[in-house]
Amino acid sequence: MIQAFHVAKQYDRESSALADVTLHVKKGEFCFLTGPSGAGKTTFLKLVFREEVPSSGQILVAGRNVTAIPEAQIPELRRQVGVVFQDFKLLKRRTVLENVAFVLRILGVPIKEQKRRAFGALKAVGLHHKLHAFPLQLSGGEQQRVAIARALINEPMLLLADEPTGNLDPEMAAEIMKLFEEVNSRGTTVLVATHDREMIQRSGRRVITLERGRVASQ
Amino acid sequence: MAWLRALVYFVEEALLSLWRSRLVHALSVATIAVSLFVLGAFLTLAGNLDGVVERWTRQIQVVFYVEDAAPEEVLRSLEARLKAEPGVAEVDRVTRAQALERFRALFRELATLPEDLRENPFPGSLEVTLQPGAAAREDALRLVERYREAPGVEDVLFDLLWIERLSTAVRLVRGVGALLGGVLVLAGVFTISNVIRLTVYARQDELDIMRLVGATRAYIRGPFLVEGMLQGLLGGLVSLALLGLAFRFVTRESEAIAGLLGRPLAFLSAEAALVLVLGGAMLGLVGSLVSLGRSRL
Repeated sequence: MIQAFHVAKQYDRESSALADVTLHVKKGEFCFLTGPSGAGKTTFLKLVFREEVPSSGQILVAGRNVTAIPEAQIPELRRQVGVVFQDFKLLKRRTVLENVAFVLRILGVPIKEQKRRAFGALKAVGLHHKLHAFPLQLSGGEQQRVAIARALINEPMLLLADEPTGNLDPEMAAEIMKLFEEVNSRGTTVLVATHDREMIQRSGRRVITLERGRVASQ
Repeated sequence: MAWLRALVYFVEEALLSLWRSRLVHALSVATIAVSLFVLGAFLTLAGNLDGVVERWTRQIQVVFYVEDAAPEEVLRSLEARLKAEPGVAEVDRVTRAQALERFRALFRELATLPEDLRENPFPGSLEVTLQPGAAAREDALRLVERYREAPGVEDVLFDLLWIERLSTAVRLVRGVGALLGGVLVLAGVFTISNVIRLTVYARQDELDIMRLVGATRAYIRGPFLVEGMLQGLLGGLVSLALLGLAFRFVTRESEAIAGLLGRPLAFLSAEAALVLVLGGAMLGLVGSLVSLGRSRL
């Protein structure tokens, strides 16, 4: 699903965020991307859904070279990839329900179906009682769950999650991981960036470790 | 149906945005309205003058003023000879009394002037109307030449030169209007583009998120284009309303002008009004395209 070949990313001349990263995540796999802060986890995820372009190297997602796809095809890629952002990236002026339904809205899904599916996704993350709240009225953990619901609503082929349990208490974190497992069992490839070692150990899944922008183990 | 839903979304978003910062938007609507008002006012003026020129050129007239003392037979023979000239459509005999009547009808405020003068100051005349057509001007000049010195003729009035001057003036009015309107229209586009740019700037986070969850460029830009277009459309409608009001005011104040023109003043044609309003919408669209072109969207 994800094939990275000698990928490097430099934001400035002095330091590189990623250097010579070669790794593969198979279709249907569930794996963790870990490493200390600043190791390049977030940067790698950004390269996968083409928020950033690598300075060198190639990345293939579902067989398509995302480093070379034309600008006009980027939305298409992003619609197939669900992303849970570290800072949630919720639309502040829209309700929880609207935030989640937005992904379907831009696809032209009829409004009734948007609402039905958004409700389902929010129910799955335990937020169906806050449909009409605005993001800033929610706690950090709740906002994170909205972001997760949004990432999952369109049943993406690939789910990228950047510290998805960082703001959650252990029980809720376990709930979310269970949710990811379920999504994975339905065929979605899942890549979770985290430095929560306990969570990784509990899951027993494959772990890719980055250190100072390089793959330390995989 | 997906495109229809997208369109509904664009309009909803645009209306919401217009409402959220209604003061700023009122400013750009007003700018567009003023510029289109000026343009429309000049168009109306030029249109009316055009009508006059056209009417007068279609009916070229040469007026021969006759001597007060000219004997009746002389006038009759003059009239007969003029009627026989090629290219002449009609010859009207206007007596001194009739001329006085006309004056009184046209200038009601001055109706007592002849009494004050204690005599009728208006001469009688023969009004020759030429057959319309390309040759009319030549015919008129020939008549003037031939009968200027004829017995009984006191003076000749041939107003073609004046008409030609008037049509030059109309062209000038139209040119000035286009120039002034053009400058103002540019200002309007500039205002709209800046207002849209402010909106884009204020909502940059939101737009970034939209991009990240897979919204296409068109989908992100759509609401802004509609927003600009709505501002322009509103501006066009406001300008039309203002023009209508101004027109009513002017026509009420100047029945005399209408009398002189020989017909009531005409407002913009329905087509011109439509062009004005749709033109406003286009200006808004151009304004938002300009600002989106400058931004990262």
